[in-house]
Amino acid sequence: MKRKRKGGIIPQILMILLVVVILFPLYFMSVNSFKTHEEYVNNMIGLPHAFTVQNYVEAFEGKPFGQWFLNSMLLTIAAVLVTGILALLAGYAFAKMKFRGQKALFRVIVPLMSVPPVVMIIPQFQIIKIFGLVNTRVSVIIIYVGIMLPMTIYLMRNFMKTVPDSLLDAAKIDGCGRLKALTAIMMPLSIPALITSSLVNIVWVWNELLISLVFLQREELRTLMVGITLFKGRFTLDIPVIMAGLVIATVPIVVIYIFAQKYLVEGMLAGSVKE
Amino acid sequence: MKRKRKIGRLAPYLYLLPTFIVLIVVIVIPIIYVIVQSFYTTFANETVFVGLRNYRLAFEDELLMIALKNNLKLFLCVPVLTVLSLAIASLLYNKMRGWRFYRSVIFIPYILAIPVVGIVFSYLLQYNGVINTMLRAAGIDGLAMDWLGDPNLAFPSVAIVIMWKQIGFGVVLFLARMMSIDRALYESADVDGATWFQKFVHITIPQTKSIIEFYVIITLIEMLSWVFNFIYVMTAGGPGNQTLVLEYLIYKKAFGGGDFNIAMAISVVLLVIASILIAIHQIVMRKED
Repeated sequence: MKRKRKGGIIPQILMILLVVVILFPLYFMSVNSFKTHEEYVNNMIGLPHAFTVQNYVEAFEGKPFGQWFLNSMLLTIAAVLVTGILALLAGYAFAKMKFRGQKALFRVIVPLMSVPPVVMIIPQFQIIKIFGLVNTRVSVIIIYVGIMLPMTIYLMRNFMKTVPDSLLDAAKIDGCGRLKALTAIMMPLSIPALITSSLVNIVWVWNELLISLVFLQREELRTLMVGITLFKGRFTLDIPVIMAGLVIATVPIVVIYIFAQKYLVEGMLAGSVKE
Repeated sequence: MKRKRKIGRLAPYLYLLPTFIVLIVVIVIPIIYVIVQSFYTTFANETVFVGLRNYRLAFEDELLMIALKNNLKLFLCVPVLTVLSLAIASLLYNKMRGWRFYRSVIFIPYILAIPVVGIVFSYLLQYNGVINTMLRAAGIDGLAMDWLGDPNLAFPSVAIVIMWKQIGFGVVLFLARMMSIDRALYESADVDGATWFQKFVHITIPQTKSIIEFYVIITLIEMLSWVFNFIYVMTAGGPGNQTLVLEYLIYKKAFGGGDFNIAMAISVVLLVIASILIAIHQIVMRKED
């Protein structure tokens, strides 16, 4: 029996209103990034009369935008990659090995994903100073990895648990060691989980503000998020240029959302909720 | 042969070693350090034990109370978000035309960067911003206000921006759970002639109860531990500390005022409240098993 499509006109109207409320700020940002400042002042809401890409040129040429973009990219790739590798190893141990303290260790790791980052910043700063890593990308990458690991391990372990033991046993009979079993069997099977958790991590690092704000204060190391918060006022009062900057900072995330929505949403739900 | 078995027994720990080194350096040592240092103070390069002095100073400062109160006020967003998300999710669950599109759109704010969201909304909410321009154009000039600058409006304005950003997560979460409810429950209710509301109260709510519990706790944790960026970008705690929250106070004390030890005492206060919520989260998670 074909299910009746319920919901009359009123729910539709409500949903359309909601969509307008959700999309309006994005519309505002995008549309104004293609206006001149003069036009913005007189026409904040409408489409641009004289379409211009000058704001984007300005962001990349007049401002250190390209550098910030590259810095964010670098941190994101490095932190997400290292997190993925470590979580693969740890997830494998938690899911498929037996050892003393296994349960206890796992139970210690999980709640670490909710510790407020601001609490750890002062000591992290002291530790970084001791190691002579003030204002280095390495220090920030390590902190990012530490913050992302608990959630990533949690996802990897839960996923690997669903891989049948018989597959691994078969490999062992064929003379595979544990490491071989991981690289030859577990890793290929875990690719969906790895992609899912990495997408969540990419979005998180790309959007992160507090840690990069505190630990990367040298101009040439600044990230995009810190850059755009400084952008306002310090670099320009030209609002369309700021909007162009915001669009540039948002496009990579939106592209991921468009092409990998299913994985990203799945990961974000699973990362916070038990299966 | 014997040696090999010994390595075999150590192997799991070797797999975990890099992870534990990172977690200990990045999270565990800092937490211990904060707790210990909150009882010390540094004078002229000398660190002295001062007992509860930092806590006394922190609590004597009205800023801590203001920040605590504001975090509690942010907790009020949680019931609003829960009810709204449930309502929207159950509308979509009825498979109204375009529900997939609506679901995709509603989730967008959740993936956006807070600095981006904060800056865009600052321009929307400015006194000469878009919202007031529209209100004036509609002839209701009286409603045109300084949304982020007025002491009475700044907090609700920030709260609404936070909810705008967070709403999609709840909707998608609840919708996913609702989709896994056995259709037969609704069908037999239909046979009995149940109304939409009766089905909502007697089937949807009980079936999603455990997810609602999760959502409430996770969102409480977010309102306590993850709102720094909103405040930093939109109001810097102002006007007149109306939007000051614990996270921002810690940041301000440490990096604005150099009061590291007092900042650490406040950090411990935040940590204690967060730990209670995290503990409840863990209990609820295990109950599910």
